[in-house]
Amino acid sequence: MFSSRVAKTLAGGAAVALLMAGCGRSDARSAEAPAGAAVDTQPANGTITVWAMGTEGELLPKLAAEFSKANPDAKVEVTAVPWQDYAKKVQTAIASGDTPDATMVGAVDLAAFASMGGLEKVPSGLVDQSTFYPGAVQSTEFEGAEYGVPWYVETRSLFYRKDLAQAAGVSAPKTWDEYGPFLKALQQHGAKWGLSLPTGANATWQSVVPFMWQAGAELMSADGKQFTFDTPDARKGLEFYQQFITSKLSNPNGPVSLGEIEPQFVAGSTAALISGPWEEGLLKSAGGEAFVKDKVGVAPLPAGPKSNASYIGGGQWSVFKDARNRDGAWKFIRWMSAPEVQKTWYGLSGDLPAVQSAWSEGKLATDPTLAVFRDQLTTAQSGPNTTTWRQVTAVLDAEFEKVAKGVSTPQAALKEIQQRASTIGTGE
Amino acid sequence: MARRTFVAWGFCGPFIALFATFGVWPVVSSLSMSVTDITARDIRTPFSVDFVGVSHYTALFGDPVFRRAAVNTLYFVAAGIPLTMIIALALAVALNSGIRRAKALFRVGYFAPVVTSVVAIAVVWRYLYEPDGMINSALAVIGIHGPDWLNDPHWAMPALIVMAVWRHFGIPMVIFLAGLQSVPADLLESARVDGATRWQAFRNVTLPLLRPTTLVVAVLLSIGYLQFFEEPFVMTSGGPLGSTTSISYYAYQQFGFGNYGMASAASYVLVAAIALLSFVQFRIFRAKA
Repeated sequence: MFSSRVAKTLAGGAAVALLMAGCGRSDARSAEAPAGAAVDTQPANGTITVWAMGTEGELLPKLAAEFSKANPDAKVEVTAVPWQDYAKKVQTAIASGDTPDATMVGAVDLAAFASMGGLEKVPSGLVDQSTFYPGAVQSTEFEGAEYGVPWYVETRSLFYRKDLAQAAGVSAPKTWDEYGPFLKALQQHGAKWGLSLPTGANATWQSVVPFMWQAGAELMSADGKQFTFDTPDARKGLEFYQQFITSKLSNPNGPVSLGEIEPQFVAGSTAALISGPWEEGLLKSAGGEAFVKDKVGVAPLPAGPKSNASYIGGGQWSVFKDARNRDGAWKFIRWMSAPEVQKTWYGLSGDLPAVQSAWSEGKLATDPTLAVFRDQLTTAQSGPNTTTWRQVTAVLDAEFEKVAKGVSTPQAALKEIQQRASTIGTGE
Repeated sequence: MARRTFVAWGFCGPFIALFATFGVWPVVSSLSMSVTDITARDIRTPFSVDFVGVSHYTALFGDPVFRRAAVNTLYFVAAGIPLTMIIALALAVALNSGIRRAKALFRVGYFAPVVTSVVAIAVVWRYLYEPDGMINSALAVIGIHGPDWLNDPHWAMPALIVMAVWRHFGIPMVIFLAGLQSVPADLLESARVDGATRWQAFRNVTLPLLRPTTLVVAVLLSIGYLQFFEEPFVMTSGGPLGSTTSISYYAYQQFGFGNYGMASAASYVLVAAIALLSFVQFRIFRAKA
């Protein structure tokens, strides 16, 4: 408390001299090759140091052991990094030039890392990008080049209380028109709230923007030079979101912290939620195996006027410019993107493969819940890849909160978002 | 070099080196960052940035989010400092006289919030502030329907102020306790002999003698409270509707966005506010001393 937090806040910046007024940044960025230098097909060798986050960091050594079998001269050293604040760790590493060879990157952070000039472009011919889900590839691109290789994907679908739906005699909604009546029916059979929607907590945008996509909105102009939030389609999506709250299908005070929603869903006070494949595990620990089997239904998101687009997230792999074993790192990444290895990884971790052909056999091909996510992946989209996207999402969260709490209208919110996003710019 | 000088440097050198690296250097570099257009993009080529003068500072005051943060911070300081001081002084007086037995236990008890991890505190207080949590259940007993504390834009800040005061009164209490113990007993005794009541003796003897202690506490608290950060960070993420975003939180967010120039400028606005408030407090308390 009494220590100087100011000094701590200020610490950790780059050194900039006041006197540098004369030598400004040159506005034209030099023309660069669209891809990195090719990597040969020989087995990898040497030590490959990688950072991986969360559960992936804990499980990756098992996969790396397989890699070492195929590449006896290579050794992968995995450092597990917590998801929380990993972005700052990567940015600090890039700034100081003291990096490992490769790192896992969360889909939203790639543009920010690439813009710092710390990531290598993916070598030409390393992988065939068309084998991945398009949404996953989309999130590895920055300013016309690829800086990452998709690894696993996640997307969100509709989880609902199957038992309440059966009691009410309704089946999962397929369109926006069926959405409200479906939730209303579940509410009439005991649930206090129909659908759980975030209303302002961090990353609320990931739940609201899909409504806009479903209505046909594009958040950015085709040339990537400006944001386009204030459009009739976006408004349709935002009004649809608002209507859940005004018609009392959703709580105006949505969940704020992780783990808040599962107990309510198990208790039956909330009848539906939108979440990713990890939700099954969370519900199992909150309600038990039998609860998930008997009472949880999973369905694709109901389609709006244009599509039933969901948000796509996931993990990808990037190699640092300051990598010591650059070739080895890319070889490891190439190996991990092979369909067979992706299947092995799914078996180890439950992460959904980013390579489409990895889904052709086993549980990935036959499991009905996974089939829902698989369908969802074909239309799932990621947010725009600009360095300023994180800042824009903070504006989105704040304005969506105003809509949810009834202090702003969708129209006014989009106008405000448009204006502030234009001020922030796309980092061009 | 004389032997004595050498020895002196041997002892002071490590501290000076550390302080220069982690104390002075960040302050100087962030001051210079606040007048350039540096962003995360420039981090590997820091000498390519442009000098932009005070434009970040003017942009800050044109940003409604920052203005809101500034108002929130002042609200927190204006409510938090008097509350903390009154509670700390009252408890210090109680500990100094009233409670004879188990004094040590109370001192430790009141001081415990200061040393407990803020994350652990946040978990517990979030439960307390739930719409049907312990606080509202207690209010319901006396017939008051409590608000949804952390989700209500009018109540989130008071809720955080209560939590912050609870968390921080320990150190001021200990300082007041030390001050109280230095009040000469014979002065109080002679006041009592002259017929003063306990309260009169406290008002006219103890309080004036506590003036230097009060100054220390007030300055320390305003430095700490102006940097209001941890409570909104762990409890509300600055919400709902921006009602608990503070200047520090705003600066933290800007760093996260890679806007190092803006973030540094916001930090320096805070430095200026702290300097100004401390100066005013020194003037007030010294003038009467």
